[in-house]
Amino acid sequence: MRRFFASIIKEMLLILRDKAGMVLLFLMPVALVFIMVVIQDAAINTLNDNKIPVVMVDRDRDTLSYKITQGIRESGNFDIVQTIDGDTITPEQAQRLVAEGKFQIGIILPVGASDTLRSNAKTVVKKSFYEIGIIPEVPSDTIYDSINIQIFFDPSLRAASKTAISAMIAEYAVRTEAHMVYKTYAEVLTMLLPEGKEFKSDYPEVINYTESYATENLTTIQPNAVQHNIPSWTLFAMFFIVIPLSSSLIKEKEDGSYLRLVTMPGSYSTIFLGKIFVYLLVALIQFALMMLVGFYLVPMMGMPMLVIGQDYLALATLVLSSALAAIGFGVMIGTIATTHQQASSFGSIIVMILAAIGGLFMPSYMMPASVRHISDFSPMYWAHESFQDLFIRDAHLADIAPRLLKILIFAAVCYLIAFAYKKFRKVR
Amino acid sequence: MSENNIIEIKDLTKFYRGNDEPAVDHLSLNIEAHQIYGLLGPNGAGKTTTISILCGLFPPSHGTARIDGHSIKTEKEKIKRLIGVVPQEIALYPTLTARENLRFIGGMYGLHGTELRSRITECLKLVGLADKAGRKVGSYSGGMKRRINLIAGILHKPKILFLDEPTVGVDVQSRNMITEYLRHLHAQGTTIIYSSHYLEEAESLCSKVTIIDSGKVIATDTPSNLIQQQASCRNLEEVFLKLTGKDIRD
Repeated sequence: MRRFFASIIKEMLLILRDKAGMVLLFLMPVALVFIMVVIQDAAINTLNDNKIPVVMVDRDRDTLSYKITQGIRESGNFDIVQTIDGDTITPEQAQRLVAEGKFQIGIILPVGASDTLRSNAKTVVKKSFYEIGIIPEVPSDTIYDSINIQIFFDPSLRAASKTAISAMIAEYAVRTEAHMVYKTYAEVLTMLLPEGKEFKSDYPEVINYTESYATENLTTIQPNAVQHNIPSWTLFAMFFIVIPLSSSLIKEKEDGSYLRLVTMPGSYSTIFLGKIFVYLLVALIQFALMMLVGFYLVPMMGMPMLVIGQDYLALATLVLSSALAAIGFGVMIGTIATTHQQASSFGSIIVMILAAIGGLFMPSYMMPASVRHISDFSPMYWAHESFQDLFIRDAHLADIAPRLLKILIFAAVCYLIAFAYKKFRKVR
Repeated sequence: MSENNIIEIKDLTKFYRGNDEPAVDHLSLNIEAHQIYGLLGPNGAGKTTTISILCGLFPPSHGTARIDGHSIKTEKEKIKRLIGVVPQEIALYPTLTARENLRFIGGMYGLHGTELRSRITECLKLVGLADKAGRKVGSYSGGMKRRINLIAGILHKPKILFLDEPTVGVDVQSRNMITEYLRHLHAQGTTIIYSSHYLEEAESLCSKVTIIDSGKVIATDTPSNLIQQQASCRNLEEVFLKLTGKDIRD
């Protein structure tokens, strides 16, 4: 036990005396997470909260255009402009304004759109009444007129917004048309009823939508820049332990300390475990610092506070497992690499790749399908998704257990590779 | 094992991976206790390999050795407690102070508390570094580093001390201090296995030497006997050059 503690003290002193290492391990991740949260929060707010400017030319000025305009305004995502400096915008102006990028969407509702709908509604009713024999004559006007609503889009507009506006216009057009048909039916049927009787034309809304999150916990935790980035950069910092840890192993081989260590009584494993223990502490301190950023620093900048779910045991298990995986990776690189340059460049490039495909830089659902397929090979993906499950989806230990197992297997494989490589090099 | 022999090496052979020629080739050697024993040879002769095998760094390909009656193959732990190693490299942590390095090394040998502190102070005084022990080893001169390297190997009072080029790159005063200290250790009963390219040093320090080349023993005897046996040689260096040749070894 004394050897283990002696190894811990030595390792702690080495880390504390390595000023550049301390900056890399503690200050840089805190700075990185803070900057990334601020940048991404601003970007997400721009996408989510800023209304998309829409220029609308209403040449109908009747039921259809009022319904469409009202519906778009009420959605809360669009800002409708119909005049500039008090003057009504013309269709040519609207198209030019969108082409110039001053507006992202332009909508032109044509003259007589509502009248056309009414006319079509009457034609529908007449035809149906003729077919059931209520009216004897064939209706003369059986042609349905079309309505051409023009929509212009700025090329930079996201596809989701284009779909949203098109769907909204189509929905209100169909609803308005249905109302008109129903009203026309009601009017005609009233004519057929005895005097004094009226066919009610109420058109109740029978389809209701309720929106909520799928988790059992009814508190609505929004996936935001804070919830995404705090665990992302925590994991990134943990895996960047590869640089000081592998450097420490290589230095011991280079300066002869390793030679002294293996000629000392007792197993080298005790000394090695002391090193692992200290780097485990480093990883836990990194996690604690990131949590402090999420709980205190980020809210001071007006951003939402980090929420970490209810299952603290699951969180502790996840943090420990991730730390062990990161350290295992560092041990493997430090064992295989023969120079500092090899370890630092090889190690850091792999960490960047694993982080990129693991969804740390960008949420995995935003990545192309081809990249999403390989996400599941990244231990950082397993860890990050587990954090998201705990923080956002109200998951518990049992829910993240399969990914935890993968993380621990990854850690074990790294240690095994390091052990086997060392043994293989010694043998002959 | 003979009563007087503290180290017995029999047929020791070592092949490094990828090499067809052995680094140590059926080497057999006996070292008596309480000697300062020189292991000499040109570059690549197999000195460091032999010492590394005896210290338990890696096993031999063939052959065996016993240290104080313990087999290097089956009783490594017992051997590790008996031996001290002063490697050629300055095997210390440069960002730690001398005292911190020694505290760690002493701790690894099971020393602790007052015993460890007083032993560190005693050793530092012996090499004249007691007042500089609070400085980081990385800030030391070459001579100072060699002195700390030496006492790191003897902190636990080993029965046998292996030294691999202990005075390389060191100033004259430090070299003199180290050699004096080795005589002091020898006088206290420590067996010293000394490997060096400084033949003048070996001639004055060692009671017996073995010259090895290409992994084989070329000659074993006291320095004076070896000089006498080679009529044209006046000192150990000339004997060495005569036996191993003047060609430069890579």
